Amino acid sequence: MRGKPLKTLIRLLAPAVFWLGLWLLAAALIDQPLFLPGPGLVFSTLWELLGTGRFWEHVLWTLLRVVSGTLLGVLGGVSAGVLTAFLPPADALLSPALRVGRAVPVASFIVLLLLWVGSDWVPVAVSAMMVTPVVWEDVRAGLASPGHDLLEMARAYGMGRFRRFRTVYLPAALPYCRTGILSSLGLAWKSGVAAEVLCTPRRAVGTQVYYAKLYLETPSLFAWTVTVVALSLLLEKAVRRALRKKEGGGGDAA
Amino acid sequence: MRLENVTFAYGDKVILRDFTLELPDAGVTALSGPSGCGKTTLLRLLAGLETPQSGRVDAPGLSKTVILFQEDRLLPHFTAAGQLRAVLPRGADPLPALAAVGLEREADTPVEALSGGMRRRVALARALAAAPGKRLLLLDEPFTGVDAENAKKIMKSLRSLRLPILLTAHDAESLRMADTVLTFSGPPLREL
Repeated sequence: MRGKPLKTLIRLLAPAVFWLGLWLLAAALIDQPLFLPGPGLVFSTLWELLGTGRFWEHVLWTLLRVVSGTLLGVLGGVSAGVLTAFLPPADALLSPALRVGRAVPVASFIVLLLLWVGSDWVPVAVSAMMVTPVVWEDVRAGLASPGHDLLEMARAYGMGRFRRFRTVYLPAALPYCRTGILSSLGLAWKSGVAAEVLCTPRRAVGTQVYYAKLYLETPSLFAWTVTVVALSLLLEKAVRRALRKKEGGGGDAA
Repeated sequence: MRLENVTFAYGDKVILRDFTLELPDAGVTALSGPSGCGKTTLLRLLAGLETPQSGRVDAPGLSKTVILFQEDRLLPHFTAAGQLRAVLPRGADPLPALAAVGLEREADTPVEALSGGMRRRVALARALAAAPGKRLLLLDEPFTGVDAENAKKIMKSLRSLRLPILLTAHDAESLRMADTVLTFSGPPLREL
């Protein structure tokens, strides 16, 4: 019985130890912290940063921007998914635009948005624009997934439009929507921080990444990157848990 | 109820050709015959779910008909009671219909956790719940996977609705419960 938690711990820690070891080895071989600082230097820099009030201010603002962008993107994606699934004119109008939007490089979006909105809002808008097409596509696929048999049953039993949506379409679309949200979270972080790097708002992790690059503070660059990765993973975990709770609530919406 | 000179085909496959049939307007009528002879298509035509290529179908129409499909067609992830709430008017109690099929204790069980026979009974309960105010009950192989004792009990509840009931069946038990048995061969569907 005691062997099981130990095995689980080893299974969880082994990959981290392996990659940290590889990083340590590479840093020792290169021996130039400017190109590749070792994990010790990076984590000591991060430790120093953690002790400053400014660090938390930058983290909070970046988190706020990415979360707002994600929420806006989810809202946009779900709305577009519902509209394009049920209204052919909306489908004809929106679907090509969303497909084109998905193919536009993030950098082009950032530069364009920088011209249109203030630098503080560009990361929010960019995150939203990255999330919207992913969620849209998944929601649309989910709404198209109920089979003919269930739809015919709903018609035969006289279910109205709203009830049919709640009992047939919505439960079918929710798992797709969940996948869309989770897979777009990483995109929201990457694009949001990239936008911050290019727009350099006053309080932002991306701005700190930019300064670290400007002043060749590679350990600091790594420390901020570790911060972004940790935040992204934590947010993904929180969203995953929240969505699982929601799904566990059951399908009896009727 | 009557079908007059009805022709119906799925693509090239003719299921009914110039088919005429008069059906009793009361009691339980069983349609018997080999699989694939066209019984389900006949029910679908009577329900108004299919339109004949030619001929006339005199039946109450989909809004006045309850159909139990050959497949259970239950809503995934919904409980047994949830299946009924989805077709009942808002606030109506699903328990009486579940009790009629002997599943009142499983009301809060998700359908995925029920056995095949229990799922069939949930589908039957849904048909029972949806029946008030209707004029015709169509049941496609209603007692597949349901034990004889429960089938008898359910048939009693179905009869209490006082609606004309048309069911398809293969098993002797279901046929014995009917007032009239019509036997068919096909396709094309032909009364023997």
